Amino acid sequence: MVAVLTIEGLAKSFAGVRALDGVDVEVHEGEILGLVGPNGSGKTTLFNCVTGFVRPTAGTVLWKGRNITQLAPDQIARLGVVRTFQQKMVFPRATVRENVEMAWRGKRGGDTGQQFKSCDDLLDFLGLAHLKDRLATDIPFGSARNLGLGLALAANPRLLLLDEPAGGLNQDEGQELADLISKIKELGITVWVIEHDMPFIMSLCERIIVLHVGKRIAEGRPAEVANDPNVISVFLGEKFAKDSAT
Amino acid sequence: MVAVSRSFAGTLLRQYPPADILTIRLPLAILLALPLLAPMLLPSTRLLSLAITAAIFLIVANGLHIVFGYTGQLSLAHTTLWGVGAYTAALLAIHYGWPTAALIPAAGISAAIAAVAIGIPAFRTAGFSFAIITFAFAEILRTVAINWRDLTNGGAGLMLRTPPTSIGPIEFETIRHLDNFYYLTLAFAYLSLAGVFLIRQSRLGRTFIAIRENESLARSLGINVYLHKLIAFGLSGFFAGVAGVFLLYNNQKIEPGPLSPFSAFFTIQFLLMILIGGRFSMLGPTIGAVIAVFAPEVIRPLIGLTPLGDLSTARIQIIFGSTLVLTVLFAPNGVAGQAKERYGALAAALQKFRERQGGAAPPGAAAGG
Ligand SMILES: Nc1ncnc2c1ncn2[C@@H]1O[C@H](COP(=O)(O)OP(=O)(O)OP(=O)(O)O)[C@@H](O)[C@H]1O
Ligand SMILES: [Mg+2]
Repeated sequence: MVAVLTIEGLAKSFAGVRALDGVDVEVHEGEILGLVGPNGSGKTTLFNCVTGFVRPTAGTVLWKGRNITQLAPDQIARLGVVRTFQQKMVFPRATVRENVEMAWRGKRGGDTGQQFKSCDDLLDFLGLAHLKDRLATDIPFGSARNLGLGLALAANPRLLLLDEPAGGLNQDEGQELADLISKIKELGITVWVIEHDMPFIMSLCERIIVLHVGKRIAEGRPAEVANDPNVISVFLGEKFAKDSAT
Repeated sequence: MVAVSRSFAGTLLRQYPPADILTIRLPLAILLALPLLAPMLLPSTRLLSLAITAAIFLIVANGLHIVFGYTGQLSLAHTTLWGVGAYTAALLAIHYGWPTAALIPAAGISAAIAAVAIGIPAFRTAGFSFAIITFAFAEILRTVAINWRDLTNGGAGLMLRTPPTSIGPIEFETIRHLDNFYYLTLAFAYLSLAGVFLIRQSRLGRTFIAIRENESLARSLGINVYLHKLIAFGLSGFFAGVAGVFLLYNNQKIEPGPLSPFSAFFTIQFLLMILIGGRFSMLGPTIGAVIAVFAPEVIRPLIGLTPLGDLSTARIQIIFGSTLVLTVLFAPNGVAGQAKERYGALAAALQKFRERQGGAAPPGAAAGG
């Protein structure tokens, strides 16, 4: 197991709120790693720190041994670490094909280059070929979600960070997405995925990290994590809070 | 008879899909070629002068389109760059006698350099702050133009009495050869249009639009947003600078007064042109520039103003303001956007008609839904 991404002691405070509080993570080459945790536990902030969108207060991020903590988002993306967003994941006033063209990045120095032969090839892979001339605002939500994923793929990633890709999808769409993510893994791309939906993440990931108020409280194989008493108390607590709120 | 002609129409429509030749390419080509006939069609020298103004405005507006329309950055220094081009050309022509063919790239490059110089600090910020900083730079340049008397001759400005350099026997002197000067300006107007078209088709243009549409997303995909904003601003400055040469020849002077490129009036007017013409359309600025120049001509008799003398600036602004309000209400994507929508409806209707005629599904038709 080779660690491609190593996060050490990562911390981030927003005006006194500790969104991340000394998080350590290793992402292994070729795996699908899950990141779960209640709302506001710092999952998106962790991705933001890794991809340069947010400057961490402390800690380091190493990508293949290189310190990328202070790099700008576009530099990090060009090194092969590409993320998706929870919302606003496409370019609305451009066609589906133009969207992919905008994101398209060919060979990267020294690397093997694109997994896909062309933008059309990628659109086929995503099952979006029939929508390619439509404006991105006009396509169904599930397709837009796939397109968002496609943009990240077009940018020629080695590590893909997916922020709640299954949010708002129904069960069938969720299953399709899980299949797509497995296919992405088969292309040799490492995947790190945030998700609320436990069944989704349990079936998809080999390994899961659990975040709670900015701290990593558990890590391991899905079955181990699911039986971890800390995790159970956090998630039961969340469920209890939700139930009592409604 | 009716049945025959109907099936003929059906065949024709099948052969030429509506999205193609008959309904869009041909009318568009005719429309774009129409300005070539202006010297023959326009009944007076005054109207031809207005057509020249429209052609110059169009170059400026196409430049603004790159930074504002494509890249989504609200620059309030754009018309100032137009003035920078005009001053550059005036200085080089007056002091060094440069020919037109050298003035055009020189003015373009100097305005592009000014744009990049403004952009380097201004693009550290975004949105309103960016707009305010560009406005501040515009004011600084205006103050320089007024106060650096040795260079700019202050508020009186610089005079240029020499017409554009002749090309062989073709002269461009604006009193005796106004139509030649018109064609020269028009050629550059067409070039500016070709320029925005080529940029829109290129990877660079797609990158600009990606930045306009979603800056964070663009950045997450490896696009250097800051650098590309500078490139867009530099290109827009180049267009403005080139237009400055024609402004200079047309007015035979450049000065920093209230109706010059340095005025807030023009800053606003050019933004309005793009909004009215359509900021998401390639032809938006062209349509906006033509409307800006000719609308007062059409409106003047309608509102019964004195036929002699020009509309005052204030009145033009009132007209423009109301046009903008109407545009926002009835055509939020501008005239060009509205036309596209209408065309979409027309194409859909034709499509339906065709399907009823032929039955067979057209090849490559957009999926329904
Ligand atoms: N830019 C910001 N400014 C201020 N506070 C922020 C900012 N970004 C995140 N936070 C705070 O940091 C904490 C963690 O937020 P984050 O978005 O990382 O949670 P999350 O785990 O992604 O939640 P969700 O499941 O709802 O997406 C929250 O308390 C949030 O309010
Ligand atoms: Mg989140």
